[in-house]
Amino acid sequence: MNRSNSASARWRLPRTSPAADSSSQTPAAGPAVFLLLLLLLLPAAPADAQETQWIHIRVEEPNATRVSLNLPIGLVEAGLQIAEGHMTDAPGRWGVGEGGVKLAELRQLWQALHDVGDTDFLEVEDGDTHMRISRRDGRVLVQVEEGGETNVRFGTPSSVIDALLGGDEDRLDLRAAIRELARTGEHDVLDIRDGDTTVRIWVADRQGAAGGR
Amino acid sequence: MRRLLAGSVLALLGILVLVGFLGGFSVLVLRASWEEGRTLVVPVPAVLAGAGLALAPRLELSDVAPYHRDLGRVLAALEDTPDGLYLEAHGEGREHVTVEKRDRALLVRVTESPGVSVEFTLPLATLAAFLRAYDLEAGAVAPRRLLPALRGVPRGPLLHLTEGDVEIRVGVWRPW
Repeated sequence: MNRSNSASARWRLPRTSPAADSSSQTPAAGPAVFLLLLLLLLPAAPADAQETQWIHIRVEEPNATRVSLNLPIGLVEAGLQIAEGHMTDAPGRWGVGEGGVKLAELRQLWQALHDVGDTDFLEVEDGDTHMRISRRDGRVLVQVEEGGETNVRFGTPSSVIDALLGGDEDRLDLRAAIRELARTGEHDVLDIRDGDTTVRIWVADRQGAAGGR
Repeated sequence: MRRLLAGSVLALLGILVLVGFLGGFSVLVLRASWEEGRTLVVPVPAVLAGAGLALAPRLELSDVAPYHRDLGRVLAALEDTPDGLYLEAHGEGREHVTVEKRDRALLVRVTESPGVSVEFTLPLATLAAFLRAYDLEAGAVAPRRLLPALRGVPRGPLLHLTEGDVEIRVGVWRPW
């Protein structure tokens, strides 16, 4: 995975190349030709495998219901492309309510926060509820605690927010954000604990990886 | 249980129709076994099934039209994504569902309880061929348009249904 920090890489990342499907390359010729082709293909296979990032979603409920979703980034991008085609948000706005939030204002706000550097943006204490939004070491963190029962932790690299807000004038660039999320490597994105129910989303460069907690 | 059976029957019918359009030397093999080890094996040469189904009326599938483009995008993405376990769900009881991509096909396994399960294979090439054969304007598929496209259905198991003593397997056999 290219981890270059150049500005162009931040905004426009090349698509992950498809993994080699060596099984479909199996020749019908003799064993010697097959072995030769296998030797030629072997060095390329690990490199391709490394480039595939996966988004993992795991939901566990107290009644023993467990759902694990493991999605390669390419598939998530396709899903987002489809979702974009069905979005009904007014251009230039995002969210719900009275017309949502103007994206231009959101970008201005993010730019202002960007210039501040690492800090706590917001901290709210209301009874047994504690919420904090901060940035530390290039990551935006949102933490919510409610009475010791509910605990929400969301964290993402700042560059993902850059990518999200850096696309088309009228739309959030979800696909650029997801590509950037994948580029930044293995990390936790969301962890929700509500009683015995847990929801966890993380990025890993291999299928079935447990993520870096 | 009824849903599982109904889904299985539908999947079986769908597979029978699809594989029926195969040409060449492919043989659709249906193997059913039930209590006391009784077994029935029905090999159906695909060329025979295809000839019969070529005369079938076109399939009206207008519900597919709004999703045709989206399905194409998902299939194109799936062609490029690596093999692996994409979904695994455990229910309250012993229900267990998995969706796996392997060898350019989606493998779906549903276990409702010990001894009651269904597994089926959806080759991506076959699904893509179906989308190509789909007439967007008419909202239908002419069966004969599927004939050349569906010759690529890979050999191997397509459906495996188990319920107690009853077991049904459907697969494609090909000499190469």
